[in-house]
Order: sequence, then C-alpha cells, then structure tokens
Amino acid sequence: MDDFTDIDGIILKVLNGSATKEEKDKVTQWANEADTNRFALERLKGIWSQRSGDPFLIGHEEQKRKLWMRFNETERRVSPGTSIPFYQQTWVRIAVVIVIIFFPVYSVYFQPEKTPTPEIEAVTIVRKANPTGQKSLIHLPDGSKVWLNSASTISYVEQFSDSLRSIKLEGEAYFDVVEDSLRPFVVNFESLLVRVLGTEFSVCAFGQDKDLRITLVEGSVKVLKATDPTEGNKTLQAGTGLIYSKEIGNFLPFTKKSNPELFNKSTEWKNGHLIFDGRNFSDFVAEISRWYGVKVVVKGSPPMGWNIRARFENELLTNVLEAVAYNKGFTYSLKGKELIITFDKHESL
Amino acid sequence: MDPLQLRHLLHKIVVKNDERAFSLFFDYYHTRLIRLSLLFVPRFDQAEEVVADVFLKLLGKRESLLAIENFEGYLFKMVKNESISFLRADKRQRTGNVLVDDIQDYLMVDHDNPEKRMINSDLGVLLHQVVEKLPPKRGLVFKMVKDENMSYKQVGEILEISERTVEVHLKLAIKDLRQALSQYYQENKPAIPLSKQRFLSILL
Repeated sequence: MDDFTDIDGIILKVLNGSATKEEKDKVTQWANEADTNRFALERLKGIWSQRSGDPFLIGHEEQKRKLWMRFNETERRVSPGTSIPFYQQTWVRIAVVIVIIFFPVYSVYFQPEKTPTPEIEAVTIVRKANPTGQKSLIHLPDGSKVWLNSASTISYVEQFSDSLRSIKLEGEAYFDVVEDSLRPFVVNFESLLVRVLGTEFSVCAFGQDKDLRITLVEGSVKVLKATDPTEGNKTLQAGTGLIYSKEIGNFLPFTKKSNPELFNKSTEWKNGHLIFDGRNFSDFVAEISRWYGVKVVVKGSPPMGWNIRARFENELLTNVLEAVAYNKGFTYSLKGKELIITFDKHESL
Repeated sequence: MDPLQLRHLLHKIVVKNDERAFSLFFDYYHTRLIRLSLLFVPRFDQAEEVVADVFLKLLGKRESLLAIENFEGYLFKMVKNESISFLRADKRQRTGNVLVDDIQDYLMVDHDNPEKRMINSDLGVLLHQVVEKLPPKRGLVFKMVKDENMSYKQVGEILEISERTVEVHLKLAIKDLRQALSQYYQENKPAIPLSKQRFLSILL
C-alpha cells in the first residue's frame, strides 16, 4: 500500500510548480487511486489558476466613493495654478536628451536587415519543456511571464543580453512581456519571429500542425519571416491575430470579432478553457491527447466533416468525452493513459 | 493581478484620473487588505481607516508609484506597517477590543455575480464558501500565495509567521478544499458526468 500521508504537501508543490518528477508521479498515482481523487485534483488545479474572490464589505461602494473624492482633493492641492511651461519641465528636458542620445542607437538597431539573432557566446541555455497533459507558468529573468502549454518547449539564454531578450518556442505559449523599450523581446518559432517591446500575446506553433498562429491581446507586435525579415513584416494591433500557412507561406489575418472562437481558444487555454472551434476529428484527437496527456487509439472509421464546436472549463477528460460521444455517436474506454474511441458502423449516418 | 494589467490600471488612475480604473483596483484589493489589517488592529472601523490611508498615500505618490517593483507585496507590507503604527499612535484607545471575527458582521450576504458564476455554479459557490470559512490568517496566506504571487518568505514577514508555518497553513487549506471536493463528488456522482449546460455548449 502506498503512503499518501503528506499528499496535501505534494499537491501544493505540484500547484506551485515546484514539484520534482517523483512528486508529480506520486500525485498522478494518487489521482489514479480513485475517481474522487482525480476529480479533486483537477478542480484544485482549476481553483489554483483562478483568483479567488472576496466578498464585499457593507460599506464598500460608499468607501470607494469617499476615497475617490479625497484622492481628487489631494491632487488639486498638489498641483498649484502656476504650472511650468511644457518644454521647461525637467522630465521633458531629460526625455529630449535621452531621445537625442539614443536615437542613433535605436534607429541602427531597428534596421530590418539587422534582425537580432541570439548571441553566440559561452552562455547557459535554459530549456523548459512540458510533457503532454501538463501546463506551466515560467518566470523569465526580466520579470516577463510565460504560460507554456502541454507538449511545448521554450529555451533561452540564462541571462538576457543588454540589447535583446530572445526566446525559442516549439508548441504553444502565452507571453506577458514586461515593457523594456531598449530591449526588444523576440520569440523565434519555426520560420517566423515575433518582435515586441512589452505586451501580451499568444503563439501557437506545434510541429505537426498545418498553421502557425499569433494572437495579440494587448499592445502591438511585429511578425517577421526569419529567413527574409523584409518580406513578412506584419504589425498586429490588440484584439487581432494572424494565421500563417506553412504550406503556402502566406498570412491570414483574423480579429476577435471575426473569429471569436479562435481568438478565445488562443488566449484562454492558460486558464484551463478547452475550446473547439469547428475542428475535424483528427484535430480533436490531437488536442485531446495533448491537453490530457493520453494516447488515443481509434477503431472504426470516423465520419467526415466533424465540425465540433464546444467549450469546457477545467473539465475532466471523461466529462468531455461523455458530452462529445453523445453528440457524435461513438463509444470510448479509458484505461490509465490509453483512450480507445470506437465508431459503431450502425451509428454513422 | 497580472503585473502588466496592474501597471496599466495604476497608470490610468494616477495619470488619467480614470475613476473606472480606480473602481477596479479598489474592488480587487479592499476586502483583502481590511482582513490583513484586522490581524493587527482590533476593530473593523480602525482597519478601514488604515486601509483608506494606505490607498491615499500610495496613489498620492502619483507617477513614482509606477516605478515600484512587486507592487502587490509592497501594498500588503504597507498595510501591515500602517496597522502597526496605527496601534502605536492609538495606544490609549486599545481597551475596547473586539474579536477579529467581527468582520463577519460587515460582510455582505453572498451577492450573486452572474458573470463570474456561469458553469458549475453550485460547486463554485461551495468552494468559495470553503475558502471563506478558513481561519482568517489561513485564508489570507492562501490568497496571498495563490493570487498575489508572493513568496512564502514575503508572506511570512508580513503575517509574522515562519515560512514553515506558511506552508502548513497552505497544506491545511488544500486539505479542506480537497475534502470538500471529495464530498461534493460523492454526493453528486450521478449528476456530474453530463450536465445540461454541457449539452448546450456543443453545437452541431
């Protein structure tokens, strides 16, 4: 009999992201002991990834109003009527000097042909990889955050240089980049790279997928072709995204309005929201096996034109399957990490 | 809150005087900071005063506020320090102590926020209740580590407990949640696999 006396401590480490491989295995083992355990673990992960709310206090709104008024009063006292002309203010002068000093540096640096490539020095490369079925949050040395999806890898030099923050990505990641106007943040993936100063965006670049996808939540980013930076060079605005077809080599823009499902899918996976935006069967299988870390075996012939649209929030695999199986007419069995999906001939239309 | 999001919010407040941004910021932290203050000062109205002072002092810093690193840690630390100096200045009135638990009287009855409770609502409410029923210090430790990205060390310093104790609090919080989840699962077993909402979420 296995000893699960300190299971709460180990679960805590898994949630915190500080668990060792043995500890992760231990938790998996515990989860497999009983359905209730698995349910509890999945939900705990869900709870941990969301902010817990606080109840409001009785005088909440009143106190808020009062403080806002007092804040505005203090402001008036601080700024007296005699204001200094714009160009005489110290910060303006400092800003002008900085611009004068740095403009040549900046403009040279941003020449398109000088596309930054990671320096080749004797540096330590950090590599973080997630197996299937596991997501993680990574803090970069500059304070930026990266949510790394399952079956994905990022690598970067341990200490970013003075002029560049460069990351290599395989798979999918969501970036929350700390602003640093003197040090662009560059994500290299397959044949593209994304260059930003400080913003929030998501990149999806799985080797086996047909497309690459960049989705921008805030700020603006530049998307370039790694081979020929002058050619791609698309600037994205917040709330828009780009799909790059690897086969054809062209870009297809989309926006949050024109394709809300795809947009949300790109940005919400980090909160545990699994979204299918009209996928066919093979995409569905790929997604499920990545998300839940299962090996999928298909028996019988799946129907053409699946077009599955659904949304699940921190849901157990069995619940997802139950719902989809009902609609699409298949049966399944799940043994450990192996999932068998069976299509019955009589059921298919 | 996301550091970037938080910075945007603070920027809007101090530079553009955006009331909506202030409202969001206030909603986000007010109750939590009052609870923290109540670990040091005995009465609710005192805690409210301390937290109001902290809000005003911080926002009064204007643009220099944006330069603070790890703003959330700073905010919590400041509430603690202000609470302690409040006590020192207020020694004479320290007699009429009321228990920390009096905060219950000031909490609103669980008011529904339909946006936040879409799916699995009863489970969401249940978990919310479990977290709210944790002892005050434990609830704070849990939220500070989980939501505010604070290290055990930082939390320990603010709450004046050891890092080890922080960990114990967290483990116990996890245990409570885990047990509530198991119980929920046992009670709702037949209902869980397929709910109507999930049917509806799948369009053919």
